[in-house]
Amino acid sequence: MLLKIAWRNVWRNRLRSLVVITAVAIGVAALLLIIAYFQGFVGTYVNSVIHKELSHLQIHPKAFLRDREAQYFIPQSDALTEKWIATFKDETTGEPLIKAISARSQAQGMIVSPKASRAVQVYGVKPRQEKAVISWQNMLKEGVWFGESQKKHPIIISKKMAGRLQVKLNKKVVLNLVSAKGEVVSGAFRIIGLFESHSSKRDEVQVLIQQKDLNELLELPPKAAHEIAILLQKPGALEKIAESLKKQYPDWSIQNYKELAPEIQLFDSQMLLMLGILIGIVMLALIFSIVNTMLMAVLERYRELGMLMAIGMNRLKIFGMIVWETLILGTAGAPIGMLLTYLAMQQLGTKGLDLSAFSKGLRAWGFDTRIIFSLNPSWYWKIALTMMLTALLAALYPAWKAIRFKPVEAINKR
Amino acid sequence: MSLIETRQLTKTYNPETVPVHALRGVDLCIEKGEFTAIVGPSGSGKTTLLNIIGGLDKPSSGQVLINQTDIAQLSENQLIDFRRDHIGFVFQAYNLIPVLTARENVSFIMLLQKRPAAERKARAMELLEAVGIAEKADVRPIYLSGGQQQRVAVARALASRPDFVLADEPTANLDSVATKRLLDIMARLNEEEGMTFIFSTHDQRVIDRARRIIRLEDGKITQDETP
Ligand SMILES: Nc1ncnc2c1ncn2[C@@H]1O[C@H](COP(=O)(O)OP(=O)(O)OP(=O)(O)O)[C@@H](O)[C@H]1O
Ligand SMILES: [Mg+2]
Repeated sequence: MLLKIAWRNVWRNRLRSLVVITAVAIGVAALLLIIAYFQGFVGTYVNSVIHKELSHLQIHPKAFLRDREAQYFIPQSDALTEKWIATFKDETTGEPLIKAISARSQAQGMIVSPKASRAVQVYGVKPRQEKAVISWQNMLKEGVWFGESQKKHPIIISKKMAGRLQVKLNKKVVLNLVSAKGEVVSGAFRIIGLFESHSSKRDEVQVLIQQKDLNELLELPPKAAHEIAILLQKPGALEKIAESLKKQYPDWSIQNYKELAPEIQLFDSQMLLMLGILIGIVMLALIFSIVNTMLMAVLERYRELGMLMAIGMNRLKIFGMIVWETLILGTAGAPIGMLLTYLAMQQLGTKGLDLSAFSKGLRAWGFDTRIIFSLNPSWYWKIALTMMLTALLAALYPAWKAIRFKPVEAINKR
Repeated sequence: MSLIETRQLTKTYNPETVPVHALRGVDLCIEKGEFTAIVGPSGSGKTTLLNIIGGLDKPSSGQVLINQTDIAQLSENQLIDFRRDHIGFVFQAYNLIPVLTARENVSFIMLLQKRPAAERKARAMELLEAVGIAEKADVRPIYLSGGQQQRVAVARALASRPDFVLADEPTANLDSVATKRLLDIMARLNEEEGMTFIFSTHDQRVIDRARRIIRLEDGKITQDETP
C-alpha cells in the first residue's frame, strides 16, 4: 500500500516528475557512454600497443637490457620458440596458448645516407615470424616486406626516417654498428619498404633488416637473438606463461606489455580516478534535482501528511512512504538511460567514433584515431546500484522533513 | 468511569510573547454513546479543546483521561498509535488521501492497524454503504462533492473501531442538504451502533441535532445542557 501510494504520488505532478526522470535517464546514459569511451580509448590503445609494437610478452637477457651489447644473446632461439609453442597448451582444449613468436636480434648504431645520418635501433627479424607477431602489413605504406623483393641486404625504414635522410625507396643506406667482439662494423642496405607506425616516437628510431644479415654483421651465430616477442591466443594465459618462463630462465627478463608500457597502468588508474570524480559530480547534480523536487512535493503536501499523522500513521511509515516515492522518482529514469546507452553502443561499440579531427596530437602519442567504445556489462549494474544509493540519499532529507510536521499545525491552518 | 474526562485543562498559546489563553480550566466528562456538540463564538477555544482531547496538542496544565489513560503520559510515538486505535477523526477539510479511492481511504486506517485483508475489504464496503456512498467506492476524492468527501471521512473515522469520533466543524464547508445528510448518518451511527460523537459547530441546525450541548466562552464552559 505504501508503495502504491508512493507510486501514485510520483505521478501527481506528472511534468515535474518527468523532468527528474529525464534528468536521471540522461545522467545515466551520459555516464555510461563516457565510461565506454574511456574504456574504448584505453582498450584501443592497449590493442594497438600489443599488435603494432610490444606483443604480450618480451624476453631479453638481463645483461643485454643493462649494457645493450651484442655479446649478450639468447642462443638457439628458434629451437626454443618451437619448444614453447609445443609446450604451452590450454589444459582443457589442448590448443596452443601461443599464437606467434618472433625472435629478433638488436643493435644500436648510425644510419648514414649520402645526405644525412641518424642514430637508429636496428632490429634483425625473421620475415615470416615477425609478420605473424606484429601487424606490419598495416604499417607498411610503400614498398614490400622481406622475401617479396629479390634485392640483397634489404632494409625497411620509416617514412619519417626516409624524409630525414632524404632517401627514397630502392636507395642505399649504410649501417654502422658495434659487433659482438666490440669492433665497429658496417654494411650497405637497400631500402625495400617504408613504414608508418602508430607512434611517431618509434618512427624516429626503428629500422628493420633480416636477422641473418644483422647476425652476420654483428658476428653472431645465425640463431642468436636479443629479444623474443610472444603473442598469445588469449591474454588470459599471460600470467601463467610468464611465471613458468621466469622460473625456467632466471637470467632472462620476462616482461609483459603492461611492464613494457607503464603508461597503460597510469591510464587505468587515471581513468578510474576521473570516472570516480565524474560519477560523483553527476550523482551530486542528480541528488540536488531529486531533493529539490521531493522537497517541493513534501512541502505542498504538509496538510495531507499532518492528517496522516493525526489519524495514526506513524513516523516510520511516513518516512518509508517518502523514501519509496523518492526511490521511484530517482531510479525510474535509470533503465531508460541504460536502454539508450545500449542502443548507442550498437553503433559506437562496433563502428566506433572517428576522432581524426583531433588525430595529430593523438597519433604523436601512439593513439589510434578511431575509438571503438567498449563497456564492461558490469557497469550497468554498478551504475544502477549507484543510482539507487543516490536516490536513497536524496530521500533522507525530504523524508526527515515530512516526519517533522506537527499534525495539529498542518490540520488547523487555513 | 467516564469515556473522556478532562481536569482543569488550560491552554495558553505563546506564553512567552503574546499569551493567548485559549482554555482557562475546563472540567468535562463525556460518557460512552454521547452525541455532543461543542459550541461557542469564534475564538472561544472549541478547536483547541478538541485537539487536546484528540491527543493532537498538549495542554498547558491539567489532565486528559481517556478510558482512565492519562494521554500526557504517552510518548509522541505511542500517542500516534493511540490515536489510530482509539480515536476517529473527521476534520473540516483535507480528510482524505487524494491518490487513494474512497474505499482505499477507508481501508488504509485498518491497514495501519494490520487488520487482515478480507476484514478490511468487507468493513470498508459496509461502512461506505452505511454512509450511502458505496457506488462511489472506486472513485478518488477529487471526483466527490464536499458532502460525499465528509461522508467518506466519517466512514474512515469509524473503520478503526475507535472509542469515539472527534469532528471539528465537519459541516463548515457543506451546504444545508449535505449538512443534513451527514448529520443523519452520524446520528444513526450513534443510535444504532452506540458510537460516541463529539463535534464542534457554529451551525444552529447542527446544534439542534445534538443531545448534549457544551457551550464554551472565552476558554470556559458556560453552559452544559441536555435538551
Ligand atoms: N496556534 C495558535 N497560536 C496562537 N494562538 C492560537 C493558536 N490556535 C488558536 N489560537 C488562539 O486561541 C484561541 C482559541 O482558538 P480556537 O481555534 O480554539 O477557537 P475556536 O473556538 O475553534 O474558533 P473558530 O470557531 O473560529 O474555529 C483564539 O483566540 C485563537 O486566536
Ligand atoms: Mg475552530
